[in-house]
Amino acid sequence: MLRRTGTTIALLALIGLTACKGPEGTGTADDATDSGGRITVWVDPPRLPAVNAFQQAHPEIPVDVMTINGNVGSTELQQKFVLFNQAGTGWPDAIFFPSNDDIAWAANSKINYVRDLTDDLADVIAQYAPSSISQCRIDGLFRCLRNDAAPDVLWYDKQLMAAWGYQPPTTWEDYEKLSLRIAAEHPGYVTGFLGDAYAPDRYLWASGCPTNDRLSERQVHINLGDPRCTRVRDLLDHLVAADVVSPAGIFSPDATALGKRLVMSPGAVWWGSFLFRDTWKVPPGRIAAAAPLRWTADPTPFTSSEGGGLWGFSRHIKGTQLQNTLTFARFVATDPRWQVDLSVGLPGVGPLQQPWLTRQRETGYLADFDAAAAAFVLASTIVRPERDYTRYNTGTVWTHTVTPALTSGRSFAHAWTVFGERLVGEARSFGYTVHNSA
Amino acid sequence: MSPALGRTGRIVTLLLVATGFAYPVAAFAVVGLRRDDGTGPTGLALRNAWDSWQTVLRFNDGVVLSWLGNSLIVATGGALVAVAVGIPAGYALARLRFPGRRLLRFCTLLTMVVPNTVLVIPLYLEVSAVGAVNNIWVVALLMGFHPFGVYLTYIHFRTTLPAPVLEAARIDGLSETDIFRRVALPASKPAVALVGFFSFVANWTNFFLPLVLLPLSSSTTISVGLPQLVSSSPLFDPTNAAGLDVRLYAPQLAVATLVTVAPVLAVFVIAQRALTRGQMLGATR
Amino acid sequence: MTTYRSIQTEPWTPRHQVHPQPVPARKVRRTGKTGRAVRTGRRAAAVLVLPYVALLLVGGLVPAGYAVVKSLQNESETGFGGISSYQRVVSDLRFAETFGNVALTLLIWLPLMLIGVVGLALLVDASPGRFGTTMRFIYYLPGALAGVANFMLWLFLLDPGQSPIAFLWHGFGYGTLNEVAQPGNLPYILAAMLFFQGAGTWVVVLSGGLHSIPDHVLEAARIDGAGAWDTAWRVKLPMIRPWLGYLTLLNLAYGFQLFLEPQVLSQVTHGLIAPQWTPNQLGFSYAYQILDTPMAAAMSVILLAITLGVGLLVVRRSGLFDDGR
Repeated sequence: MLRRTGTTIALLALIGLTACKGPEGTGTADDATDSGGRITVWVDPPRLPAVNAFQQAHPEIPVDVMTINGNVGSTELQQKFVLFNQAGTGWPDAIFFPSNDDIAWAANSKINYVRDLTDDLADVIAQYAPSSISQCRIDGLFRCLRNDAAPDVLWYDKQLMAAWGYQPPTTWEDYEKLSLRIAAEHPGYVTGFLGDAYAPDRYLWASGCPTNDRLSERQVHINLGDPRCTRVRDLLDHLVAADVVSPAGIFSPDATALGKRLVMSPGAVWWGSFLFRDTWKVPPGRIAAAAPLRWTADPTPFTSSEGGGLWGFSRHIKGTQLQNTLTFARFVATDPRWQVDLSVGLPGVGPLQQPWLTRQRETGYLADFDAAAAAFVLASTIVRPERDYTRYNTGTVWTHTVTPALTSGRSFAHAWTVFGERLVGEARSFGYTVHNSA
Repeated sequence: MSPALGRTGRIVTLLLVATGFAYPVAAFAVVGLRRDDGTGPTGLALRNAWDSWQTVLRFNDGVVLSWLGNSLIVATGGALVAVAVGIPAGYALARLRFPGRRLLRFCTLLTMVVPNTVLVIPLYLEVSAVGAVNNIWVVALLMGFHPFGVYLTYIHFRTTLPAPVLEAARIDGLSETDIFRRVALPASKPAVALVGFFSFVANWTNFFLPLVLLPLSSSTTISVGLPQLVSSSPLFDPTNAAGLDVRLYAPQLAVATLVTVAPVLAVFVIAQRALTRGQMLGATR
Repeated sequence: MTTYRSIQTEPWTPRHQVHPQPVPARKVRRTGKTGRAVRTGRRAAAVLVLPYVALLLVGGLVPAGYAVVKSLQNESETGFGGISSYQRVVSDLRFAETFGNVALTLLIWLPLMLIGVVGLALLVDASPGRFGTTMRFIYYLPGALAGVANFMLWLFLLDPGQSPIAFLWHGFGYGTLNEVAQPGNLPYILAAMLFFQGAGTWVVVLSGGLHSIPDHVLEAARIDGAGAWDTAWRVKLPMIRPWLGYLTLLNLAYGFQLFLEPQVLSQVTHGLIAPQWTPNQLGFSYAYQILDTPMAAAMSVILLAITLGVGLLVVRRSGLFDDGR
């Protein structure tokens, strides 16, 4: 804990030196207005309780709430912001982005909606593990706050593992070996889902494969020939060939039946209650979590993250409206009345993680809670930082190249080639110059 | 092939195809009468449809009603404009000589056969250049541009208004505008019904124009709204059930769709007599 | 303008007298009538046509022209960019792909439409009385479920978990929506959707065309010893040929406006279908996602050029609009 705070401070000091003069216009916009206090907040349905809790805690601040919905890759939200920019009015003061990739356009110079929080909320930012907040750091400035950390851990069915006499793997190499064994000994069971937009996060990001290595607003580094990519490609190729991973996605209705036959899989912290318990209805006491898988060749362990919501705040406000919005920002990021009592995800800020875990223990859903809790906390500190949210959506490219190929029974190698071409192509059509040096 | 065999074959084919067309529609209507709260559809009663509709109304605090209201505004407004503008223009094209008449007729035909969605992005560029995006009246006005209606009116006046009648009116000394008001208009009822009907239906079902020009979810129309209901349904994303308090399954979606179709059917019934007479006009869109 | 305003309020006031009363106040001078009539005629025409011309400009010509202008701007929209936006559009790897998708869909849909509609219209035409009209009405029925409603219906048809035709999907070996709606099947699905929605209307149109064939022509064919088949092939079909050209070209142009169906299918299948599957979707993405206005304009201009070309063929060559006196 102490060491992490130490690195955070060191990092902040470094940022403080370099970020004093950021790119033009990331702070308060010239056209900023002040409502005199009332703030407008846009959230998706699961985040409504956060707003309610805020209204109870701060009855003096009037809040307008709008519920938004959005699928990954949907343009609806962005469309609205294009309109607001044209009209010069209409922006919400705070927004929970339905998809994490939204931060890429919201911070892009064309829309330029989210304000730089580096100075105003320095104390809040300092409470995050650097790896939890690194996706909010765009060109040296912190332009969003993380609601919940969503690092990947290894989920497994403890009862099945015990009954079959297996040990949960600790490395990707072991994960592959055990998967192939399960394929041979217990056909019909699965050890992963490949069909959803988070699958490239789970596998490619965890390995450090450069798919979203943003160099600047118009430069990106993509290289699927990198050894950190090819090792995942080979792994998935073998698992697909053995038919032990499902081409369905975790959100697909087809996954509900398969979820009960999931022996193990890398997956985000929120899988526990959101998928296993509430969506797939796996009985309590079966599901357990272990530390993230690591690649034997890597000197230090790393993991990836799947979603875990981001909050953004408007550049177009000042005065009391701004102060109230910042109060709201502090509340949703660090107040236990939301983060511990109500939020379904592991808090992004470090100090609230233990209190949240203590509460989760009471629900008694997971088998061996202490091991899971330790895995969650560890994972939230080792998310690979060099993976950014970009305007092209890697998850969407994956779902319409790899997923259909696997659904129609094509080989993974074929799917991989198409995925790589499309990824580079889409990055280019968004105006990025693609660097593919190793 | 013997005539009897041919006759049987013809009737069987027609009946088979009819089944193919009617069965899905009927089955869909039946879905609306069922009940589903996440465990699969059961039962069959009118009461279920009512309950489903109540659930749909609770979605985002009754936003469906705003969508229906907005649809009504743009569809009716657009139809009124289309009639008010299209009837005189169609008459002038059919019965008056004026410079530019051939060009205007040509432009009308061309804009009529070009699919209207290819003009939507250009319209968006135009409307946003003057800062009028998200204005429902602008959308209604743009929907009032209905070249097909002008063409229908043109055909109507060419085929039903005999030239001698007009000639007589001219000899009687009526001005051309008087002739339009006192001779042509009273004879234009079928054309008004046709133009009104086709324009209303086209506007009501228009998806792309409101999608682009009315981007705020509270100010958009029902055809843009329905797909939003779909993407919030646990039917296609089970995790929606965990997040949303209003859960829309197959029956709720079916009822919402049937409610959406109702105004089109109503207008169809109202305009039916004019339609059956006018269908020879090549009513296609 | 005042005259026009009075017209606007008039159409809903029923007039009982079709033949107008002579207006005594204005004496008609027969001599010199032509010049004056033409002039007043012109003024009247201007008044009657002007609002429509205004809408034609605002709703058609100006946006089209503006799109051309915009498409020639440079990427930052600060100055002239030549054809650079077109180069960006054409070099987008999705550009050719989206047109390929539409072409594939049309390749399946147009023959289906042509053969299906003509066949049904001929069969209906050969079925006199109530049976024929009933059949025609049933075919027209799904047309009432236009646009989004038709799509909603198909969503249920396509999902083996809900579908009343699930047996069909199981027959193909499909158990889930994602298997049915996989990208390779999309052209077939779209063709079926569009046929289901549009066939009835065209059967009605063609029936009208067939119905207008004079009895003596059919009688003559019968006397010549032509059977039902011969009559259909040699007499009826040639008579409705202009309509067939119109049908083909209009639906060809229609193929380029596909947007809704692939868009929502992409959503419900969690991105299994590319979010930019048709040219229209791609143009939309340029406007609202990539935020490159010149590119969006260029895409529109390309689509306009194609559909206008098809439209010109329809207007000039189909023989249906030839009374331009």
